[in-house]
Amino acid sequence: MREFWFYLKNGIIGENPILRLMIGLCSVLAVSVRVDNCLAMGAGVLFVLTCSSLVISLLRNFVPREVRIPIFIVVISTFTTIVDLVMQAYLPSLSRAMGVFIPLIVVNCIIMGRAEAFASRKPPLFALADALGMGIGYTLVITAIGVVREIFGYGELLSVRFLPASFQGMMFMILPPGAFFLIGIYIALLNRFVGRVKQ
Amino acid sequence: MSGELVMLLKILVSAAFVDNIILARYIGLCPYIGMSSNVANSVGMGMAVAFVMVLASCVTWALWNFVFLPLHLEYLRIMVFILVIAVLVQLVEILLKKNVPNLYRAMGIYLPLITTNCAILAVTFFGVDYGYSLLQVVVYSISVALGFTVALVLLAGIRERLRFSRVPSFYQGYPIVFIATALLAIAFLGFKGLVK
Amino acid sequence: MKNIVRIGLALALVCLVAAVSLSAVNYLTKGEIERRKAEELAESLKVVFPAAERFEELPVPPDAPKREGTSILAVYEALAQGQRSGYVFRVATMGYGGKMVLLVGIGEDGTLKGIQVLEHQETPGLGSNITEESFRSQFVGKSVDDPFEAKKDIQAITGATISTRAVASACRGAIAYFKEVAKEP
Repeated sequence: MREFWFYLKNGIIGENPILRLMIGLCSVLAVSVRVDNCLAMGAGVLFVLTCSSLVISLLRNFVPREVRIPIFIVVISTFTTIVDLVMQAYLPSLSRAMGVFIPLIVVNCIIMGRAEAFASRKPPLFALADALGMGIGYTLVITAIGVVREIFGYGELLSVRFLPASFQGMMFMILPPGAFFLIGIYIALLNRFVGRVKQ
Repeated sequence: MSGELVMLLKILVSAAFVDNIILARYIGLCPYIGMSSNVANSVGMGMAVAFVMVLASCVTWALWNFVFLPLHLEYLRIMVFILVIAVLVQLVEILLKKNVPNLYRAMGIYLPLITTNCAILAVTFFGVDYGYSLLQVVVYSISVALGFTVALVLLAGIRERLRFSRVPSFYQGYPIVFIATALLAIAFLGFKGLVK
Repeated sequence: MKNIVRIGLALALVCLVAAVSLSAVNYLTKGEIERRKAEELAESLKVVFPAAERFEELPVPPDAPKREGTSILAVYEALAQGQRSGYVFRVATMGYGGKMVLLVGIGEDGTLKGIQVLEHQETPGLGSNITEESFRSQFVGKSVDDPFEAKKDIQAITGATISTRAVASACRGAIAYFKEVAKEP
């Protein structure tokens, strides 16, 4: 049971997918302009990651090694399509705001990477822990970036005016350069406070 | 110049520079960060990506227009497109291994990595969503691959130089890479408004 | 040989389960997705032409030439009390940052009823202000014979002249098409 919590915590901090493993970056930078997008993306990734990891872990003894990658792909893309369709139907404005990045969840390196490195080798309970940890870690980081970008870029948080109306907003934070810059800073901060990882 | 040719040129310039897939659209970052440590790797990666991207775009375009739309199977798009890419990457791997073994060995782990390259899947989606003709899709995918490679090589050049600079300890490694990328992205912002 | 059969079977089974579940989800969500799209369209059309009761789509020749650099994507007839009171044109043009899609409502009397920006890729904080009510309201009531030139009869957004010009040319394109369509009974 203690292992469960270890894997969970590991996904959030020790091996945080974005700040440590450097995977799953594409969606982070594009989506993190507004916090509600971040939360939706985090939820989507968490859902696909958890379901896929569980299914792949359950199937791990029945899948021949040679076809494991195509099978991972089919499983992951199925859950991704489900998220895509459900969002189009019930959260259409969010779906449109996030655009191509929802279908791109299928190639989110986090999910494929964890399937190969972890879910296909460990029992379902641990696969679940790892998936939850990674998903939560991902959501925390993307939201942390989103909060800064929305406050400094729009002066709002969750579309509620936060800073005085006279604050025009830093364009830098909304456009790509700001996102890259922020991630660099966050990684540096993590290195400073939680100890470095060998490059 | 005929309207068709001008349109193709517009696609080329905007896909490669104005809307650079990495620096303006943030798509394809994982290989970008992972493979740009030196210029040689970057060029190799760029070529491999270009090859798969163009092939995949054409195949998926054909599938979409001749199979998906008539049969209303749009919802299977994600699964089929990514499977097509995976198959193509396997094929490329086998072909290279048999015919150009040196290149195969030099590419090493990059090849299987291309399957999860967000950029290729994204381009297959864009190719059909933008309503391009087959010729336009070919030009588009080549241009995107060109932009991808340019961004990759630029960053690789910077990283090679950075190795000899004094970087504050907590910024060493990835943080400084991202900050360098931020500067590159600002530079590419200058292309906006180039295509009217 | 046995290995290939195992592999093939495993792959086929997984694909089958996937295809079935996706078909199910697709079937369940399809209705809702269609409903949303229709609702959104109806809403946008109403914003652009508030006086109309309902709209009917008219056919547009697929390779209609561009007018003023603007392509006509769709035409809707605006009807009130069973009579045609105008049209709404869905047009696309190139803005500063990329493709821009707008709805332009023009009444039978030759005045603009409103515009709505459906899609754009303009710079946030600058060109993106074309979606603001304060910018769009200046188009309401203009005549189809007005020049529609930025900084002349159209007030430009500070720092976003190109975006403003794009909206203006989209209107001119819609007006050009309107003049052709209005000639037919």
